[in-house]
Amino acid sequence: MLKDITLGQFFPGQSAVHRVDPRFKIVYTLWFIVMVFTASTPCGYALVFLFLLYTVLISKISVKLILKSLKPILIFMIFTAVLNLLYARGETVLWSWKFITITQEGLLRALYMVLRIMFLVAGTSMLTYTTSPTMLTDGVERLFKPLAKLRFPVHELAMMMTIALRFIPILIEETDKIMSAQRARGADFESGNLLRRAKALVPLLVPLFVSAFRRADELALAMECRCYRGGEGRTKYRAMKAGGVDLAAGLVMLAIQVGIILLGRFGI
Amino acid sequence: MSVILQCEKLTHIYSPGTPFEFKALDGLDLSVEKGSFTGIIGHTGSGKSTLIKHFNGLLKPTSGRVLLEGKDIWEEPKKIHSVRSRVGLVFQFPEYQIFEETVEKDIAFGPKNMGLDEDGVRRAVEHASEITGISSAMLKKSPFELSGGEKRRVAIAGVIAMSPEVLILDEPAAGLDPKGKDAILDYIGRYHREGGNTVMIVSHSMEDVSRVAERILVLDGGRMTIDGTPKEVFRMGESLKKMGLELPFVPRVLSRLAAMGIDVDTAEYTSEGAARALMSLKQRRDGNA
Repeated sequence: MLKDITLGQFFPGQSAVHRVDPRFKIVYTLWFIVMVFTASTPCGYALVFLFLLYTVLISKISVKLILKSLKPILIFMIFTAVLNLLYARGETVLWSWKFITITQEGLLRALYMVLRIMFLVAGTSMLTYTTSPTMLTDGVERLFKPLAKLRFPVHELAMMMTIALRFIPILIEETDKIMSAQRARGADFESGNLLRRAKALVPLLVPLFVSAFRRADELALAMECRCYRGGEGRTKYRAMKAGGVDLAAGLVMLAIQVGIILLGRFGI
Repeated sequence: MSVILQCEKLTHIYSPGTPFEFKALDGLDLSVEKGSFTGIIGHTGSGKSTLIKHFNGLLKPTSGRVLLEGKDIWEEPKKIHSVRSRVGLVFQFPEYQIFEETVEKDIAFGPKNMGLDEDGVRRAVEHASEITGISSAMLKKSPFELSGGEKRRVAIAGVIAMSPEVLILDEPAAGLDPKGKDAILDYIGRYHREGGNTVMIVSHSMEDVSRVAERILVLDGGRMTIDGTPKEVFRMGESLKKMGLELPFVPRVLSRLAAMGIDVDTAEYTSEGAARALMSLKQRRDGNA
């Protein structure tokens, strides 16, 4: 149940998408977000969609999984669609009843908005699906490195991020275990009103916090035992090097971007 | 004796349909008799923990059935709570589930959830602390002041307080010193004898299990591969080794002796039994000489 959370999950692989340098992949993901917003015509959207589909297919991540990542925002998408449908003004009225008017422009805008959200979520989840958390934080650290000159604690933040990401699955597992143990003692997490449910969480949260503090303590001790002293003068086991895959991926994105802008100019 | 707990073609698959799909149990059949003391052995990942989570309905079988006194526990999913008070489950490192301010309150958590009145809860706590040797001074303490072994004792008392007909413990002795181990196995034995309760112990260590269990089941790859008394199981040293399990110390010594051509019964698993086997060997030799 809790194990089905896909947030921040990584699926190991050897595809070209997996092999793109994490620094580039982060930048490309940001570029993809921009790309989604530059698309303004049906063909532009189609191009973004094809690009996304292409990345998903070569990464060998199952399409089912991508759809699953969209599930949590389903309500949000419906809400956006309905709002756009009702409030967008336009000339071509398709259907109207009392104060509700649905126009062709509104319909199109609702569709575009939903597509945009879907592309954004699917595209950004591709980043976490194909990059291991350590690689991801390594990439972030390298990208923010110039800020270290301004005394910004880049390495410390990246380390905190690594640890936090690493602890997500551990804490989920721990929660699962404690829930099972308390259920075995007759605890009920599912029924009753809000107050009862909040109260039922005490037997779960107390042991969870106790164990989180214990783990943090142990981790700090283990890091000190291995002479951890922060980022200064620290070298990397995996040196990041830009290569052919990164260049190729960049060129593909550039081509798509130019295509979208041109299509937008001609309005198709 | 009548059968209390039964599995029929029990199969469980974790995360079906994802790259992490994993078949933890594979068509397992099993029946446990009322009042028996069973040990379940298997190396890490053999499906032990998954199996016991099915016994009180924490996991639902992907296919197959779990029967408690002949009745499918999932027949009425809403009444799964009553199954959980009849089949008590103590997890690995149960001390991490403790949350109350005092030991007494923590032990009372289970009985309270069962809906007992104040008097019933008090009696349940008294009974459980008596079996597990928790003094009344300790009952008033905060569980976080206790030592690891004492915490474990409190956690197990918390499940015993529900007076389950079947008590299942996952690695109850893991990570304890020999003295703590003895104490825990001792009062689990006490709970078994008293009132004819059924007990199951899950472990990867045969040493602990063989000391208390009358019957040993060996799991490997989600299937039950061996089922017998400790003596019968320990005669199969070779196949156990293939499953990544090691014989306890005494049978290991005896089988080494047997390999050296000395005629001893390799199935003895207590030091007393081994002494007897060696003495009878000595007598035979002295007789021949």
